[in-house]
Amino acid sequence: MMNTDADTTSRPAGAAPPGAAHVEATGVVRAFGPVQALGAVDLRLQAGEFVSVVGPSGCGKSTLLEIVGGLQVPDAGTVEVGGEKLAGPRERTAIVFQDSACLPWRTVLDNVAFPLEAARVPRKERRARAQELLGVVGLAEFAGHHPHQLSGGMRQRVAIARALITEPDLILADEPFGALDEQTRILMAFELLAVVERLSASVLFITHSIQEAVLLSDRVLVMSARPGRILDEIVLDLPRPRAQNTLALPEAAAAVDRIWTTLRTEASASMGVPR
Amino acid sequence: MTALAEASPSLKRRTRTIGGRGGPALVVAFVAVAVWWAGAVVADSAVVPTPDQSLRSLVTELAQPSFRASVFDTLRVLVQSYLSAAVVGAVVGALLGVRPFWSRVALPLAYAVNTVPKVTLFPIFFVFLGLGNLSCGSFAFFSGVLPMFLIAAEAARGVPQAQLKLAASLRVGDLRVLPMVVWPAVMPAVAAGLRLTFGFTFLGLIVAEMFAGSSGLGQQLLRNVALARMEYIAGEIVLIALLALVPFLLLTWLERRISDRFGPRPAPRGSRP
Ligand SMILES: Nc1ncnc2c1ncn2[C@@H]1O[C@H](COP(=O)(O)OP(=O)(O)OP(=O)(O)O)[C@@H](O)[C@H]1O
Ligand SMILES: [Mg+2]
Repeated sequence: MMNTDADTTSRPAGAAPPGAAHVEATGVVRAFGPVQALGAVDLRLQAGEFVSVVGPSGCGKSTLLEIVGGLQVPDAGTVEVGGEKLAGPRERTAIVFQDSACLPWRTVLDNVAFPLEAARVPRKERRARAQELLGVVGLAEFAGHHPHQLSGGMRQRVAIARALITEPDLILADEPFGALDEQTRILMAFELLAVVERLSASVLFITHSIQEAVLLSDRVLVMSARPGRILDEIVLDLPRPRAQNTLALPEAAAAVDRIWTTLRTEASASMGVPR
Repeated sequence: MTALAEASPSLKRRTRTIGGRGGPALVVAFVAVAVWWAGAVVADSAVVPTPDQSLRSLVTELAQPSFRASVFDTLRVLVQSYLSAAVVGAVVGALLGVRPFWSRVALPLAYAVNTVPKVTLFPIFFVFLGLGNLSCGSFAFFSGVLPMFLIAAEAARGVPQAQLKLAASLRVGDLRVLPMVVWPAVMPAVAAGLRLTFGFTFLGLIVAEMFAGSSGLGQQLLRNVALARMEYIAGEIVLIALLALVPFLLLTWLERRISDRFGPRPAPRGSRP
């Protein structure tokens, strides 16, 4: 697996690597017909920052992520990534979709190599890179399998490997570990942290697990029920590298508690339960 | 090890198909001929010729140059109309199916036209294109292209949004997304559609030749109906069935190849009879 030495996982404090992505979304609004999915949302990501978004189901998290990914155009508001106004999908942004989006007719290896194929990287080179990434997510022996021969969690790992293969500077992950069991989830989360820190990439991470958000993030944003707005922002000044016992720290416990309190009212609201 | 794991399921499928699909079909064909023969002997009537009478008439007819010309005419027009119907239907259907707006516009229309019994529209072809291969071929094309279009469009509409979004996020353009995602995704459905389309095209062609053929098997069939030569009619039916069988077997083989390559999904395979 990956090298998780302290020196690769400890983040250079404050110093933004030159050219790394940062995100600046201001007043982003999105409606689907009569459904107001996203209220006015402001979102900032500093270069190399790991920001999680938690919020009730259907509050517009995926919509926000797709807007930042350039896949959807907001009805109002502006999005800048890496200092430029966003006009469609960006080369160095990688998205891990909520559904693994594996291509069933391709082998696992060719699924992981797909982004390089899209970028017209020669076959031999992209396959070598893909094999390497499969090692990172622990699927090296499954290179020749087809997606239907994998479990849901394994397919999601393929999707993660595929996102990392282009060495992005901005990773947008939509509940990437949703299909994984608890143990794999934690292991994969630490793997992701290690790779992300090696790439100095910024991450926008959507999750429904409050613990996961606190464990991984520099900052957690809590969204309201639809139309989604940012209700609360929790800055986590927890030591890195993060480890399982990070959650046992009093600060972490307090953050989990604070997020849960905010979310509880919103979750009931989104399910039509009176507050 | 992975190569072996890869190869074995398709190997298993192939052996199963030989015993599982070809076998029963042969038995049924054999039984059908036996029943026909027994029925003809029992009936002992001029209206029901025996298989050997029919075959003898067929051989007599095939000896005539004009009949052979008819067979080749039908085959040539069939190949032309089928290939164009398959290609046009599949390509236009897939192109349109991935665009939500255009599929909303065009699909209901195509379904509506497809529901109209196609024969009723034949006079239009006849009036505009006259007697002969042009109107027959066009009608055959029309009979095949609509089903192919609908199958391809529905398949393209079913391409998961996530796969298209993935391609879009990697900045794969509108044209490159076709070979990279859409074609492979619709391949299994299109392969099954190819087989259906062949049947519809052939049917359209024979029917058109009966109405407006200056030659061709449909026209020969109608001529023998007018003369009430049952053994000749039966012989032609056998010939048409044989002519249909070869492409059917080829297309079945092709479909299996394509679904091995592009459709390794467990559900449809297991549920296949
Ligand atoms: N393409 C679309 N067409 C119509 N409505 C949509 C579309 N995409 C999203 N919506 C609506 O917008 C709202 C927000 O959807 P979104 O997928 O962003 O929620 P989410 O926060 O990601 O939910 P979940 O946690 O369940 O994934 C939902 O009410 C959804 O019904
Ligand atoms: Mg979502």
